[in-house]
Amino acid sequence: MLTLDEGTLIAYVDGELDTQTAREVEDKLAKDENARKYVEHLRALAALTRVAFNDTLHEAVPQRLKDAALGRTVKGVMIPQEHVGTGNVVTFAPKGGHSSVSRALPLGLAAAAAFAGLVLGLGGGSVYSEKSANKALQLAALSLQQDQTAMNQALNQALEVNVSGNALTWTNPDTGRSAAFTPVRTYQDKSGQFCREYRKDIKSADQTDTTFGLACRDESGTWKTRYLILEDGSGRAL
Amino acid sequence: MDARTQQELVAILPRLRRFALGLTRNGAQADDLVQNACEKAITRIDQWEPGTRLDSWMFRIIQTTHIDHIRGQKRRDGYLEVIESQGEPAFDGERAAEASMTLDAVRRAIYNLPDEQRAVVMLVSVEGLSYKEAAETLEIPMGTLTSRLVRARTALARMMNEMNGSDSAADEAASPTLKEVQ
Repeated sequence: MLTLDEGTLIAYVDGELDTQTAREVEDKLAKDENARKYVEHLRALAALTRVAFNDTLHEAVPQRLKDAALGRTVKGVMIPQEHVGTGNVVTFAPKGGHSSVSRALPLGLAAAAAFAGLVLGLGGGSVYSEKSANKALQLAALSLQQDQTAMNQALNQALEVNVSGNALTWTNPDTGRSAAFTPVRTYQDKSGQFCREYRKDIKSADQTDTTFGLACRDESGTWKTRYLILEDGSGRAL
Repeated sequence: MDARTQQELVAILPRLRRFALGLTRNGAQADDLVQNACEKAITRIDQWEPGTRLDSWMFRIIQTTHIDHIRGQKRRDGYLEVIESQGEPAFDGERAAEASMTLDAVRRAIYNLPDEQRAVVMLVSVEGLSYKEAAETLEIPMGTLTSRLVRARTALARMMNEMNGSDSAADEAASPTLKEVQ
């Protein structure tokens, strides 16, 4: 005989019960208002806990950790990084002017990275490959950052103009990243502020990440995300 | 460590930092912990079975490194207070205000849990590992995992209620003061 103790309800909320047991729990919940309230409470707590530490995911990872992950620390001392000055961007930007800032910047950085690699490469092959791998990482981070800025703008537009259920799609052929933003439902709170639930599918080379969020519109027309829920349960970084 | 594994390790760094922050409750200590763990992982890469989850393996290294660190401190200083007293959340006021008081309250409640319960909550509730994966990561029996989880959740629910008075934050999140207009 199944009893709705805390352990069972917690396992139910975590999706850890087999189908048969979960069904029994649901039958009992239908007749037990207190247990239902407790389950709702647990669900809300689980949803909040899930996103409570997400600030960390959005921070830039310190370079020393990337170095450690790539095995670049020598006796606990970090190999110093080359700085890519903005001067290089101008010097090495292709002739014919910049068609747009977003294009000119990565090209300039790539040229600067190649140049830095070339000069350092005279000193020894291993230094060269480490430096250029580093630059590649920096470039990847930069392009991700630019994509994120563009995707934030697209999301804002989707929330501002799209009817619920209609997706706004965004693609960057340079990075192969694409995204779809779909407002799901619209609310208005007591103070008259509009909030919308939305679905965000971000597709990169080998995977699609789906997240659900709740964003509210401020007076300036900017949609600020209040909650984000990851769908696949893997807790992947956004 | 081959290049692909290294790239995967770099890719999961944000999640490793999040887990380490949950354990240490301090941003700088969390980063030190992640760095130590990465250095260990690289020297012990032969102990990782390719095809198994790299993230779980890293969580385990982080967890054991953290426990070793606490034990070391206990031995050296004879007190655990160093870590306990640095339980202030590593978030500044401005951001906390913007990121809603509710999430801040959840973090504070989690920081108040005992070490072993906090590790379980970080793996199951934050990282989304299954009970089985979390038990394997922490190298504890399933029964121990579930009982820690139940104690942690009931304590969290209670703390959230206390922090928010009768009007619980969890209720507020489940049914925000929003009404559907469309």
